[in-house]
Amino acid sequence: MSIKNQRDFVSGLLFTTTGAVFAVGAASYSIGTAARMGPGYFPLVLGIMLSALGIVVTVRATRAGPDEDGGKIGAWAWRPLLFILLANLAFGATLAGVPGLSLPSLGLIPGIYALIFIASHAAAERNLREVAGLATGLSVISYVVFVLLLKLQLPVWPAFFSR
Amino acid sequence: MAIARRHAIIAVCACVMGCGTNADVDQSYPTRPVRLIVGAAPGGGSDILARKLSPGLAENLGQAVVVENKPGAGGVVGASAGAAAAPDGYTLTLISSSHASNSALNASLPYDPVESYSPIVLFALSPQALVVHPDAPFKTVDELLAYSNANPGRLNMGSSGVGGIPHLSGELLKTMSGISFEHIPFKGGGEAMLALMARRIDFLFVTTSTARAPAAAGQLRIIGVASAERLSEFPEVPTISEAGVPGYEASNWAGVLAPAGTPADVVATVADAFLETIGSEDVNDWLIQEGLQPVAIGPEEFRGVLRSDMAKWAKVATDARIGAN
Amino acid sequence: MDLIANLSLGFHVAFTPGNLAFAFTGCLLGTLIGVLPGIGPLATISMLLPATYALPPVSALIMLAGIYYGAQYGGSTTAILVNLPGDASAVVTVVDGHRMARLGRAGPALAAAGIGSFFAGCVGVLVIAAFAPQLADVAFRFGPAEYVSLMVLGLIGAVVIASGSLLKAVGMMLVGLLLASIGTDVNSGVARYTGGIPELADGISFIVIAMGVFGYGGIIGNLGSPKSEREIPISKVKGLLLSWEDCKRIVPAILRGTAVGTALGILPGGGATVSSFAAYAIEKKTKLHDGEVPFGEGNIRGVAAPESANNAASQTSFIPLLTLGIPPNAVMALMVGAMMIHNIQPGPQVMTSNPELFWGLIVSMWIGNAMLIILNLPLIAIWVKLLRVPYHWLFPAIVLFCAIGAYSTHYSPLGIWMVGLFGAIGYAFAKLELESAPLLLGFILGPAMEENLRRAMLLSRGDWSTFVTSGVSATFLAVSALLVLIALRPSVREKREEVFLEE
Repeated sequence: MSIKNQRDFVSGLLFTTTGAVFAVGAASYSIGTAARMGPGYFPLVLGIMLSALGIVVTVRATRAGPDEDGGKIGAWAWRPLLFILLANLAFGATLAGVPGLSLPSLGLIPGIYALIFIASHAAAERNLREVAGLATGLSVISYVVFVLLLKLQLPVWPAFFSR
Repeated sequence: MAIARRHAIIAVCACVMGCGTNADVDQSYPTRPVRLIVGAAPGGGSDILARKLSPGLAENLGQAVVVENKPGAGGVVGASAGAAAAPDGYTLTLISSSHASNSALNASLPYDPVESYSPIVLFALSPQALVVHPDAPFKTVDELLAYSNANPGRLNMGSSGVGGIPHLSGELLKTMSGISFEHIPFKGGGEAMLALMARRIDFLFVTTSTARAPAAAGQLRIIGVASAERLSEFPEVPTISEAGVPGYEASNWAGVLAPAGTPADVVATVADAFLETIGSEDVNDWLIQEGLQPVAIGPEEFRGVLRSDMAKWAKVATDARIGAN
Repeated sequence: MDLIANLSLGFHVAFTPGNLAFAFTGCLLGTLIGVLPGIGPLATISMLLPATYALPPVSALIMLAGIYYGAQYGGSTTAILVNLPGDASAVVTVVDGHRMARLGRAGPALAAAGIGSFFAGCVGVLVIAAFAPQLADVAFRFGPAEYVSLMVLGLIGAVVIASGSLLKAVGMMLVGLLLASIGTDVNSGVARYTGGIPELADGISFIVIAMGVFGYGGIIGNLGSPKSEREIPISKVKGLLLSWEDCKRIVPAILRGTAVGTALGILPGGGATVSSFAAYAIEKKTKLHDGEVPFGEGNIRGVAAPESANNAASQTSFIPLLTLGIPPNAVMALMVGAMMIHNIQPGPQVMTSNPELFWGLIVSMWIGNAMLIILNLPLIAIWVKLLRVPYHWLFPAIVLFCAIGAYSTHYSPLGIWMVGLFGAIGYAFAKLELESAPLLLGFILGPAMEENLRRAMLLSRGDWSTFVTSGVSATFLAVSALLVLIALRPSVREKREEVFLEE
């Protein structure tokens, strides 16, 4: 048995796992009968269907003739993936703080600088002065649009500043 | 309850006056918009109420009041969002009597119906109506019961959701009269009413405020009210109690809660704003026109109502062996 | 000729300089807020609702109608320009619309969306004005069983519109349905798959998934590809308006989209959402003209049809509200709120007891639509300039705006991080050639499908034949089965594989 289509093979495994996770989870809720379905009925049936479908997709991937590119997944863009996620994580932590890690809320403006500086690493080339300018510009725009005009409840500055 | 209510009005008025000076001292609340969570689907009774009250509240609080619909599970979704919010008075939860019944049905509520909140004020009573389709073979409560006896297992009762007062009112009717039916939960009273108009279900408990317009348009028929006495709005409609189920009463009410630990002066400010709002001529007229009776039951008394209703509905739930999950 | 008399009454009430100014302001504000990621029509209207309290009822409703159409169009604008659907109905617009923008044809895409919406809006308004009372009946014909079958049809349609592997599309649809089961179960109140996290009690927000999968996922994928592919060369941004060729293409597409949207919009719940998917599926089943770009690669019909359907459905979804007093969706419920505040109880009696208001409202919807096109055709030139912003400036800005939008849904950092999580998932989907559109449709229809399935089975006392004994339901299921057969037919399959290979 050899994998003829890598993408489909992995997709199938993904479906089977996702379906199984939901089906097992559903079993902990009441299933009920067709006439009186419990909260577990619908996800259980769908989870089983998804798992079964995943198996079919996986098996077909070992049989079907090779795709033009052999169904290769190809190289993962680790750099953008890592830095975009880090930027996102840092923004959430900076904006709202993480009580569990006793990280105080630093507010929107520091959050924007953190996000922009980290996100800029996602591209291969960057110019530090341009990035600083972009962060400053977006800080002004965000403050005016979201805080002044739309009045979203965003902490703007570090919590210990406003006290 | 009527006597308790009168005492309560006096108590609340006293409190509001007493606390009024306190509230004046604390100028910091509210400094930003206040969220008013409604655990009902858009178009349901308490949703309309919230939207009617919000401009007056905004005026009295000096800040915008934003109504947020969090429907589902008979108000549990909204109530848990309300309990989880910061106790700063910026997130209030408009609840109805189903808040007290949810604990009877769901052992694992993500909040305690009384302890997770600072009750603010119970400000309106909203009697329920038992409605059927105008072409249904039963036109009175008696005929409905007779039909059920002659055709066991045939009737379908809709509701605004599992464990809501309309559902429990039906179960209470079952234990008191022996009527049999299949319960069909909907997402909000609006959807259930549509199903009744289309004759997919046979009968339904709804607040009189929601039944009023379609009843006037001949789209459904009110065969009984669930209050202790007839309502001035529908003088010709008998109470369910006098129409064949003696002692039957299932009242609905509306009140507002803040998360537990909300400062007393904030509670007073909000209570003040609510009472002032429902006292204004415009809103007061509207409430009465919509079949809601304005009352003023203050924090402590309100806590008592919550506890006694919880006990009543717990009994119904046990008798009918209903419980979520 | 009651219709003309009624409409002229409406014009008399609504067509004043003041009201036109309110319509214009509403449209402008709605468009500007609607283009912000994560802030869809519902959020926009609830933000701006208090501003309309002080206005007289007709002016307030006119302004709200303007805000609604503006916000919806704003959502389509971001879908086309930066690959971010503002609300559920713009999900299909992304597919061909953003592709067109990357080919330098953002102008025609935006123009097609605007013109299609305007035409569909006019038809929708006329349908309401002429047939609203007669159509009220349609809502009664739709019970739980009929809704389940309609949704099955919608889901099958989503699978058919997917361009890659059929099996994988079905899988994605199931993943969407399962994701939708996260949160509090309406029928029992049990919190499913929430792990005790209160933010998950309401389920995952659609906007969070859309921003993650399309916004973040797209950015990661773009940055991973060579620079030449990711930048849109300025020289390629050509022609802001439609060519003669484009016009010939979009006219039939707009007509079909309008018909589908008008019909589906009448159904309370579900209908309007399915309409854009349905219109796209139908368009995709029609023959390609010679030299026409295939669907999924920037076909202008793939923008015009769903946008028309969506706007027609927005109009006709007023019918259940006006005739039965039951708001069919959350946006309409806010409109009800606005009416109740002005002591108007929407419902069958409004038309007779308050004809000025009723017809004023109908005409104001039309004014809102007209204002939208007057405002947005000139704006296209400005929106397209946005594409000249270098990508290394644009992508951090999108990452930021999505994060702020996500925070505003729950005011919790969890919302922000979920966008990141779905970004990673979306990128993985793209690498595996798993399409997101079926997932999102499954996610949107999941809750309503489960509720109605359970309701239908309660009503039938556990008898599955309830889905075929009703004529309407049986028809939907038969059409679904037919679609599956067509999709499985060898010739179509070959074609699908071809598309698959071309990518």
